[in-house]
Order: sequence, then C-alpha cells, then structure tokens
Amino acid sequence: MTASGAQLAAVLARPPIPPIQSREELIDTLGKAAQIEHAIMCQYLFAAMSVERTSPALGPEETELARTFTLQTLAIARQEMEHLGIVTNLLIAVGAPPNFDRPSLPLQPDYYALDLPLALLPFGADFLALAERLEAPDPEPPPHQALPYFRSVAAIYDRLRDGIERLGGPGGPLEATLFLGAKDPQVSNADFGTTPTQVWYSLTLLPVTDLPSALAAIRLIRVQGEGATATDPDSHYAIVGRMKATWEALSPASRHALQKPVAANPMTRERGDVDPRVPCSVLRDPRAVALARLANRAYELLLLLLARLYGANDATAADRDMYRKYAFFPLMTIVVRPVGEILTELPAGDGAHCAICTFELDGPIRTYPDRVAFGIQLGERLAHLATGFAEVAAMPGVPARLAFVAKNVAYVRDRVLAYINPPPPALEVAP
Amino acid sequence: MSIVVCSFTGWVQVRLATNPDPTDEPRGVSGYTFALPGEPDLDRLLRTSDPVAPRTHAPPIGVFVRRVAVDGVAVPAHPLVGARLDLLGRPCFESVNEVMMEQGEEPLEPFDVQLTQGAFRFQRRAFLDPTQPDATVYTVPRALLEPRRAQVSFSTTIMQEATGGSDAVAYRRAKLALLEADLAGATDPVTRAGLGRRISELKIDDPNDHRTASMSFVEARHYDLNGPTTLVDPAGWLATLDTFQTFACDVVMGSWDADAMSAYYTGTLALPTH
Repeated sequence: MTASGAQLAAVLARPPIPPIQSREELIDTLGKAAQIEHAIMCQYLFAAMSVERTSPALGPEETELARTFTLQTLAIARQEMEHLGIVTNLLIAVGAPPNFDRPSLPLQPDYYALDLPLALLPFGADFLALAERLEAPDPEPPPHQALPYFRSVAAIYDRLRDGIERLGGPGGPLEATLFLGAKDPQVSNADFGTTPTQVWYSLTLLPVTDLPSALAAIRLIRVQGEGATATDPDSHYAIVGRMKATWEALSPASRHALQKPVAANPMTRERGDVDPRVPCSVLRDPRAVALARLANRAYELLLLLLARLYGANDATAADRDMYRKYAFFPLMTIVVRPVGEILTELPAGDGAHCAICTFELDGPIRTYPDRVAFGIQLGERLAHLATGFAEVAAMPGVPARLAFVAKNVAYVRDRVLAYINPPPPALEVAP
Repeated sequence: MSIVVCSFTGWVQVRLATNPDPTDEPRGVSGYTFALPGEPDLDRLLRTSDPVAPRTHAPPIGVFVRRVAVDGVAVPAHPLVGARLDLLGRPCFESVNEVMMEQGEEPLEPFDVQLTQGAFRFQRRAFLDPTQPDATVYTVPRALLEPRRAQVSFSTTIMQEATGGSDAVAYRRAKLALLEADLAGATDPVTRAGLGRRISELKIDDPNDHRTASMSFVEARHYDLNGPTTLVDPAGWLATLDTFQTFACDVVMGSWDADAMSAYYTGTLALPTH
C-alpha cells in the first residue's frame, strides 16, 4: 500500500510544506488533523470489531487474550475520539467551525501529504504494523527538516504547535486575537460531570481558551500517541508494540482462532473515491448491505449531533445537553458498536468472509444552522433508523440482538420527539 | 396506627456490563466488569441471594433484617429480626447506556420485595403504574419513571459500614495481594485466566478512576409498594398490617466492589399496622 515510485518521485519534487503563517493555514491544518484522527479512530474500531472473542472454540487463555486485544484497541479508539474532540476545541477556539468530515478509506494516495496508508484492516499482523507506524514517534528530533510530505501524524502536530506559537505567542501577529472563538461552545470533561483530574473512560477533553491551553492540548495528543518518552508504557505506540509482540508469539492456530473472517476495506457499493490500488470488497448479502447502510446512517447522525454540539451558537443549554446525551452514549454504545458486532455474524456474501461496519460517509458533515430544523430532522432520521433496524431484525438469520437495538432507537426517537414537540402544559382548573 | 420499620443490610450481586460497553454486552470488554472464563454471561440482574459464579474473596451475598423498630422504638426480640429480604422477578438495572437514565441513576425494575422468616412470608411490589401492571420502563410515561431515578452522591459512609474501611485504593490493593497469592498456587487454566484478568483490573488503582472512585458512589432509591400484598403470617407477627396503604421502602446501595460485582445494600421497609 505504499506509494509507487513514480508517485513518490512526484511528491518529492514538490516544494517542502511551509510553516503555518496565517490563521487560515492554521485552520486548514487543524481540519486535516481532525480528519486524520477521525480516520484513525475508525481504523481502531474496525479492528476491534474483527476480533473473535466469544467463540466456544477459544480456550481460557485465548479468551482473555481476545478480550485484551479488543479492550486495548477500543481504548485507543476512544482516545482517538478524544484527540478529535481536542482538535475540534482548538478549531472552535481559533474561530473556525468543527470539521467532522472524513474521506473514504482506503485513503487515496497523497490525500493529506501524509506518508501513511490509512485503511480498514482486520486485527492481525498488517493492522498492528500499520498502527505501530501511525503511533510512532517522529524519527527526527526537532528542528525538523522541511519535507514535501508529513512523515508521521506527529509531524502534523509539530507543525501545528509551531504555527500556534508563531501566530499567538509573544510578539506574534495574532497575539491578541488568535483565540477569538474561546468563548464559543467546546466540550470538556465538565460536560460529563467529571473534574479535570478524573479520567473516566480514558478520556481527558481539554478546553482551549488561550496559548498555554492550546499547547497543552497538542502536547496531550502527542504524549498519548507516541509517549512522553521513548519508553512510556501508556502510549499508544507502546500498547500497540505489546499487542504486536504478543500476536507474533502466538501459534498460527491461535492467531486464526482470534480473527473473524473479515475482509479488509469493505464497502456497501463500489466507490470511486478510494485508493484504486488497494484491494477492497463489496458486501453482497442483502441483509448485511441493508444493515451496514443503516449503521453508516447512525454513524452519520452521531457526527451531525457532534457538529451541532460544537458548532451551533443558536443551541440552548438544553439542546446541547440533548446532543451530548444522545451522541456519546446511545448512538456510540447501543447502536454503532452492537450493530458492528451483529454485522460480523452475517455473511459478507462472497462465500468466504463475514460482514462488518464499513464506516462510509456519503456526504460532508455540516453544522445544521437552525436548531428547530435540526430537531425535526433528528426526529426523522431516528424514525428511519428505528424502522430500518426493525425491518432488518425481522429478516431470517439476523441475530435477535438487533431487535433490542431497534427498540432502543425507537425509544430515543420518542424522547427526541417529546423534546422538540413538548406536550402542552396542563390547563389549570380554577377551584 | 403503628409503624413497624424493618432495617435491612447485606450484599447483593449485580453482574452487569459497564459503560462504555453496550448494555447487552455478554462478556464485558471496554467497561470494567467482566464475565470470566467459566462464568456465565453477564445479565444485569440484582441478586439478593444465590449468587451466580461467586468469586473468591468476594463478600457473602445475602440481605437480612438487622433491626426492627415499632414507632421508633427498637424491638431487639422482634421475630422479624434476621428475616431474609429478597427482590423477586429478576430485578434489572435499566440505564440502557443512558437511553433511560444516566448510569447510577437508572431505575431498578421490577422492585418486588419479599421478607421470609420460617413459615412467615411477606411480599409486595412497587409497580411503575399500578393501573397497568404490565408497564415496563419502555412503555410507562416518563412522569411515572422519573420517581425511580436514584439520588446519587459520593460518600465513604456506606463503604465504612460495609467493609470497615474508607480507603478504596487500600481495599483493592489488599484484594490484589490475595489474588496474586492465589495465582501463584493455581494450576487450572480457567482459574489462572480468570485470576489474571481480575489482577490486571485491580492493578488499576488510580483513586480518580471509576473502578476505584465508584466504591464511594452512593445510590439512594425510594419505592412505594403499591401492588397486592401477600402475607403468610401463621404466628400473627403482622396481624394488623394495613394493606390498604402503600408501604415505603428506602434503599441505599454503595461500596460497589467492581471485582466482585457486588454492592452493599441497606435500607428500610415501613409496614403500617392498625
């Protein structure tokens, strides 16, 4: 999946990526960082869903190993969500809208001028090798050689840090105005009822209001990814390294037992917006296709809620509470993940693989501008999801668990409808 | 009219998946509770007796009446002292990943109390909607569900009463030492795998982590028992029970031991008599 010699030569012939010199360049790079964090999160979620952890064929040690692989991969995915949240706080703070867009995977070569292949790979040697590259410390100590591409994700954050310091630091051209959006809606630990020192669900959502908090936010992302030191045991890089070493020490039979038969880069239809050189697979089983499309719609709705949560200045406190309440728990935990797991119990339709979440987005994620219009469409989308899940649940061979998903989506729909169309107050009857 | 107040305490078992695992996650992955190798799937049920796959070094499961007072005056010799309290009907915590309510505040449903002591038996349920006994958390109007919301707070009082200490980190470290000793002598692969998971979880002893902090998380719930009363009372201990009234039952749950998936359960049941 590495770039061909000709493509590489073309990239190397370009001028080096220049330092950030303006707010718009900063916003462009923050947007790029948001999309990359988002894509990496999908990679980890996909890999976690592909681990076989409930087969009766697994022995006790393999069962615990499967749980460890899954929980560590999901924990990293959550921290990638956290990184996306922190980058979004940075975007808001410098006066930009949130960016929850993401290009399709496998990523087209050179999409981000990033020398890393982003793709949906099942848990195993290829995935772990890719993850190790993604989380690797930048090989070159600062000051960095200016290159025409980003050698690592860390290099993007180095450019961001330098740019923020240059623009907003003492004597910088935007010293007084860089954080002009600091009072606009952000999401931090306080939104989850936790104090800044409480680390629940492995998340630390730092608000950004000024230069020190912006630099602290970028440092947190780098430390969680590559580690504060080369031997930091809690970094993603170290965790992935341990999983990789464990995986490599397993027998071929154990490795096989721990993998669901998931194909890399699945899709619900042929797509023209992905890397054409990377093998992809299209789901064929009609139940799997229908369910994967619904899963993508639920994922899209989750992002639309986040876009309103971060980017809507007309949202009331109650609106924001509702967006947060439904995005972070029900949609992530009781819809996207269970449906992803249910999909792996359905055939892909090619006679060899099982289905899985495809994480496709068919359009840009934008902040809906009007709270009432969004509320109405939120209700409509939840109604479509509830109906759709119930219809697929009624198909033969679909795990009964999907009916529980449908029931809960219907309940959330009713709650949202009650929120946007509250019942009229009871008339007071004169004594 | 007199009020007989039964005060009960004991440990309950709740084998439930915890956020951010889906509510119906059977084994536990991304939360901090797990069904270990050899144990049945998680089921979210609150058990007041007959624990499923009880773990080593876990508190004994069982809730009993420890004290009876009549009109505020303790009656140490009251025949209901020592009675066993059970919750019938497979009570289940219904947060559903916060679809219903936030974790910790969610309703426990059904709430159907039984007291037994020898041939004596009392049973009465708190229906969400006594006019619709089949109503569930999904079908009942929110106005009737909201009273089931727990009042939550942080306090070490319950933990102190339950465990004799108020230091959650010390509690977990003490158990960690016991399990590490067990692991050193264990040869069965299933036992070793389970102990390994428990040990790796107990090693997470950051007081700010919810594995530890939840030991001082206290949930208080109030119920009005409003269903039909069953009373088998051959000795006439509650012969003048006023079954036309609702009975108040106040329950506090705390000292959540995530390793044992058990919590301390204490409360009062007020029984009005003529």
